[in-house]
Amino acid sequence: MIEEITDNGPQVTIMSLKNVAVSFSGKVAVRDATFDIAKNRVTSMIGPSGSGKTTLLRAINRLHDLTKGAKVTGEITLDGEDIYNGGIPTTLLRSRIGMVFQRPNPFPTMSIYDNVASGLRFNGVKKKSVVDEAVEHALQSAALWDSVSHRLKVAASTLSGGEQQRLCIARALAVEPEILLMDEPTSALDPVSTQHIEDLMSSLKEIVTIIIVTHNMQQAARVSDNCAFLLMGEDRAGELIEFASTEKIFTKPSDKRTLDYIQGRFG
Amino acid sequence: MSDLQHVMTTDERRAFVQKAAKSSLQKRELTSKFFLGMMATALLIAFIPLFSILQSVISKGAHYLTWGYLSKPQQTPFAFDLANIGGFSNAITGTILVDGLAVLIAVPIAVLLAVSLYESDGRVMHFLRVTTEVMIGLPSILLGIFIFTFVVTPMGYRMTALAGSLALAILMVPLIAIASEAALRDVPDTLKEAALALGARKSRVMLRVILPYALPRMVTAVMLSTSRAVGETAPVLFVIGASSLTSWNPMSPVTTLPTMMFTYLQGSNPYIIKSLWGMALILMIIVFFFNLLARLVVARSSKRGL
Repeated sequence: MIEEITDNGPQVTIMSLKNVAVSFSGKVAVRDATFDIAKNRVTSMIGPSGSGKTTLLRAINRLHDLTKGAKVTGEITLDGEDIYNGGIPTTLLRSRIGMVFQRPNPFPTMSIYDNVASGLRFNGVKKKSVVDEAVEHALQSAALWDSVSHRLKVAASTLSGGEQQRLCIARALAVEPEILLMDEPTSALDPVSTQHIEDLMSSLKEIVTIIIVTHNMQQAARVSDNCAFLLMGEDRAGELIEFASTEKIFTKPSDKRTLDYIQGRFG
Repeated sequence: MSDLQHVMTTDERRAFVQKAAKSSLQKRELTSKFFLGMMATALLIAFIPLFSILQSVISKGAHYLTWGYLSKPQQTPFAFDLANIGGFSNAITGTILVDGLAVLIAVPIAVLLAVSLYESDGRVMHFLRVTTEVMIGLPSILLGIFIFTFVVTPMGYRMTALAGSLALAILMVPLIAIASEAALRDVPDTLKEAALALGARKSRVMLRVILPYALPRMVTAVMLSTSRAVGETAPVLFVIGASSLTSWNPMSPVTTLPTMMFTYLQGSNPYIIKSLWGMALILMIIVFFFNLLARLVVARSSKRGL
C-alpha cells in the first residue's frame, strides 16, 4: 500500500489552479488555491468542515455558475485552456469533467441502463451500438456490471445505496470524462461499499484523472497520490495550507497546521 | 473486467463522445435559441392581456377612488338625476364581510380536512379525497342553489351575508384542502421521523414540525382561493339579498362588488355602467391587500419560528 503511494512516477499536469478564489455575494468562501492536478493520478482535498474543499471542487466544473451571487476568480486551466475565460462552452467542459456527489443521486425516473446512457444522450450520442457498448463498459469499470447486467431495465431506485453510488460513477464514466470529481463519494455508504469504491479508484486511474474531496484522512492516504490540505482562516474563508504528494503530507508535512490536522489535534 | 472485449478503446470513445458533443452543441444552441424565442413569445402573449386589463381598469377606474364613492352607498335606481349614482360603500363592506367570514369558515375546515387526508389512507379517506377533488370542478352557481335550498329557504327566504359566506366557503374548502395536502406531503419524512424519535406525540409533530414547514404553501393556497372567491358572483347572487344598505351584520342582507357589478350591468344608465371600472379597481385593490396581509403573516411567523 505504502509503496503505491510512494511511487508517484513522472507526472503530467492536466489541470492547473492559480490563485483560485470563490466568493458568495462578496463573502469569500475559499481563496489562494494554487496547485496542479496530475494526469491519471488521484488528487485528494482534505480539511475540516468549512475549509472550502467542496466549494473548490465545484469551481472545477463550473457548478457555481448556477448559484446567484457566486464568483470564481483566479485561473483554472484544463490542458492549458482557461475553463472560465477560454471559450470552452460550459456544457462541453462538464462533459469532460464528470462529477460524483456526496449522496447517490441516480435519476429516479430512469432505469439503470438509461441512467448510465443519460450523459451520452445529453451529448447527442444516438447510435445504439455505441451507447450499448459504452453503458456496458462504464458499468464494468464501476464494478457493477455483474450484478445488474440481467436487470438493466429495472428502476435505479431498486439498487442499494452502495450500488447506487457505483451507478452514479458509471453514469459519470460513460461520457469518458478526462477528469472525475468526487465529492465525499463514500460518506453516505457502509464500510463494504466504501471499500468497493476505494478499490475502484485505483483501477479507474488508468482511464481518468480523479479529484476527491474527503473528510476521511485514512481514505485520502489510501487512495490518493497527491493531497491538498485546506483550512478555514480567521475570517472564516478556507485557504490552501499545503499541497504535496500524499506521502509527504502524511509523513513529513512542511506546515505545522498540516501536522496537527493529520495527527488529529483539531478538526 | 479482463474478459471484456473492447470494440473501442477509452481514448477512441472519448474522442467519439467529444465529437458528438461538439457537433450536437451547435444544433442544440440553435434549438435553444428557438425555444428561447418561443418562451419570450409565450410570455408576451400571456402578459399582453394581463397588462392591458390592468391598464384599462386603472385608467378607467382611478377617478372613482374618491372619498365620495368610497363612503356613500349606492343610489337607489329610482333617482331622478342619472349622474348621481351614489357610491360603492355597501358593496365594499359587503365584500369584506362575506369574504372575510368565508375565509374564517373555510380555513379551519380545509386545514383539518387536509391533515386527515394526509394522515390516513383508508378506503373512506380515498372516497373523501376523490369527492374533494371532484368538488373543485363543481359549477359555482350550484353552490348558490344549494345554499338557497338548504339555508335561505328554511330560514323563511331570509337572505343574509352569512349564507353568501357559506356558499363561498364550500367553494374554497376543496381548493385549500387539496393544495394544503400536497404541501404537507412535501414535508421531508426525516423531519417527521426526527420529531417522532424525540418522543413527540403525533399531534405535536403535526403542529410544531409539519404544519410550520408547509405553512407558506398553505397560505398561498388560501390566498389563491380567496382571490377566486372574492371575484365570484354566481354562488352569492341569490343568497345575500343585493341590499343597497351598508351593514356589518352577518345576518342582514348585503351586496358584494361582483354582485353589484352584475346587477348594474342589467340596467341601462351609462353613468352606472361606467362605474363598473371603479368597482373592478376596488376589487383588485382588496385582493391585493388580502395577499399582502397573508405574505406579511407568513414572513412574521417564519421569523418567529412559530
